[in-house]
Amino acid sequence: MANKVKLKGARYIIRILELLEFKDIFAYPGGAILPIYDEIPYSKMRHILVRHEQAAAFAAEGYARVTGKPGICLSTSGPGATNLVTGIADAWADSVPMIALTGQVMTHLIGTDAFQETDMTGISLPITKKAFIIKHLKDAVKILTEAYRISMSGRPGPVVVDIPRDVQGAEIELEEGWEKFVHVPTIERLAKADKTEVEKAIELLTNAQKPLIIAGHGNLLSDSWKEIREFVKKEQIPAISTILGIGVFDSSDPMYFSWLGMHGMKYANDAVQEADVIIALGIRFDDRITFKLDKFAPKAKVIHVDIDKSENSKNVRTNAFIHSDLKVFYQTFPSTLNESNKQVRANWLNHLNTQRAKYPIKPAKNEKFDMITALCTLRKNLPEDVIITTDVGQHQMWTSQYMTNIKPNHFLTSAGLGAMGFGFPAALGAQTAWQNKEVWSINGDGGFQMNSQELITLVQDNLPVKILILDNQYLGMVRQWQEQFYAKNYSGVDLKNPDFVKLAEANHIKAVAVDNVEDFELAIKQAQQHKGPFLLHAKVLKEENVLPMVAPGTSLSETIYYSELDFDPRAEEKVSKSKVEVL
Amino acid sequence: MSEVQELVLNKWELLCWHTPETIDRIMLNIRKRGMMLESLDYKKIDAERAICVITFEDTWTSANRIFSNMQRIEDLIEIKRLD
Repeated sequence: MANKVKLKGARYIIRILELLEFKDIFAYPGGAILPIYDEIPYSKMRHILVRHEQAAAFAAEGYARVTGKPGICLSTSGPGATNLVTGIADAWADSVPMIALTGQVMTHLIGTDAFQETDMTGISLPITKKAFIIKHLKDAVKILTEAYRISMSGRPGPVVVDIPRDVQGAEIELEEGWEKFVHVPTIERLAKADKTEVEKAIELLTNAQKPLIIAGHGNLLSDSWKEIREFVKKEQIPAISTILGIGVFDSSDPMYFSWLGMHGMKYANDAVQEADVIIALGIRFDDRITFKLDKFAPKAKVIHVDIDKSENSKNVRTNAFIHSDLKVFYQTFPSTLNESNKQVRANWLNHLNTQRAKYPIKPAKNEKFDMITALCTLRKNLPEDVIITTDVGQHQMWTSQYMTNIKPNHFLTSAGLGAMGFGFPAALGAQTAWQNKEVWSINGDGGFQMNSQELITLVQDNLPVKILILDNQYLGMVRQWQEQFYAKNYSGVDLKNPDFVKLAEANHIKAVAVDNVEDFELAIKQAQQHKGPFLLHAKVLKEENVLPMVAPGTSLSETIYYSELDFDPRAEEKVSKSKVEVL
Repeated sequence: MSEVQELVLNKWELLCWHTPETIDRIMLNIRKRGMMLESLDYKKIDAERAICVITFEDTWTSANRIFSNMQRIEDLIEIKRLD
């Protein structure tokens, strides 16, 4: 008979997490999680002490988005747990694998309205794939392994595991060698494609005159970017992506026509409206890309390939739905390119190239220091494998437009939830995962202040994140909408900002402020040469509007493009005939 | 102007894993729309599974989207329309 060993619950839980190969944990302590904290100093896991639990959740997301493994965050009960909620909701909206561990009051106190008691599994129900309570230590391995599996399998997403304090403090008797029975779960790739649906898709694609691929986040989540690039090349079907699909294709790929949507490229939006067959790969037809559903892709039959069958005709009616992991799909779907449609596809591709040359995005005007100029200047100074995070708002859209040639899973943005405050802690999480890569957190002045308390976390945990604040002294996107749709009645958008340089310096971080392109470029180099974190405060023009734009209530066909006055005619000369879109 | 759709009685049978949150997750797709169930009949059928039959009134189009949303429930094994 095997010898018995006794372990304290908290030690047992920490050991299970280590055996599941979690290496980093973003966390904040408190009363109901103290037994776990008593064990953290003895753990192999790196503990990142954030200054607000919301940042722990966003950091775990940033970590997950760049590693493809679940990010893990930890908080106490009550306010600690509820502070995680926005980050959990963000992971739910963008299908990011995450495990949120929350302390809970002692089991016998649940339901007594005890100090710092909240029903965390109840609160998180609509924004998680699953929420568990560990009531007995004997269930801990099963629950934590299952939490890992659920967060990663199928369509990834967040899982909450609530752990009452008495469970953490209890003892468990185990057989010696128990650890060898704890394994990282194998995530099986789903392949449930219905043969009839596949045949319908083959027929639709073979006979299409103007087929178009829309590639989404699913390609990154399923680690299928190599396969989709080959698929596009083999099929000779042009492709566009969603914002979360940025990185799926290399921007210089001649078959890739950038991203669509509210602030997407006009030529990408037009392509959707002209296409006669759309093959949607790992997307969910968000309203920011479809707008009026009855006017979306009016000429197209839709083939939708997705791992989540709940997406079948949820928003856009599909003509063929293939329920499959994308990697499996690319490996098994037969080629539809043949002698009779080869020329048809080439003609369509030529047409899209003409459209791309006709409707490029506005080039940077280096004579004034606006966000576009700043972003173009930054991009040309960054290494190929830079990791970019954005916050939410105007700078997010411009970063998405102008930060081209980003590697897969190296562009992190809060798309579905649109959560201001995401970008900076997400960069903290990404830098934790990739210590040796250059990580830039690009922020507006509004969003940065939502989690600016994490400046000191960078210092304490030696995370050399480079922070750019594009400061237009406004909540810029709200201001833009008030200008365009509320008769310029600016309300609640004018920001009196702190001195960001002093704020950084107060947190022992080197910082500079600039208000022109030349100084900005020098400051970028200074930031890169500095070994630690660095804050670059760029004071940019105040009232600029993001274009192209699809106004709410309209359709992709009504994409607002730049006016002639807004567009630098010199750009025409610079636009390459083939594929260059950012000058 | 959008067409006004008639309310119909929807009756669905959900085969689920029997867990502490199964009923809540079924109900939240109704509750979050400000709607109410007409009936809910939940029965454990073996050690691990349960069957839940729900009825509610909604338009055909809206009910179709709820049907899609239900399929994202982790504990759902199968959903059938009985209406």
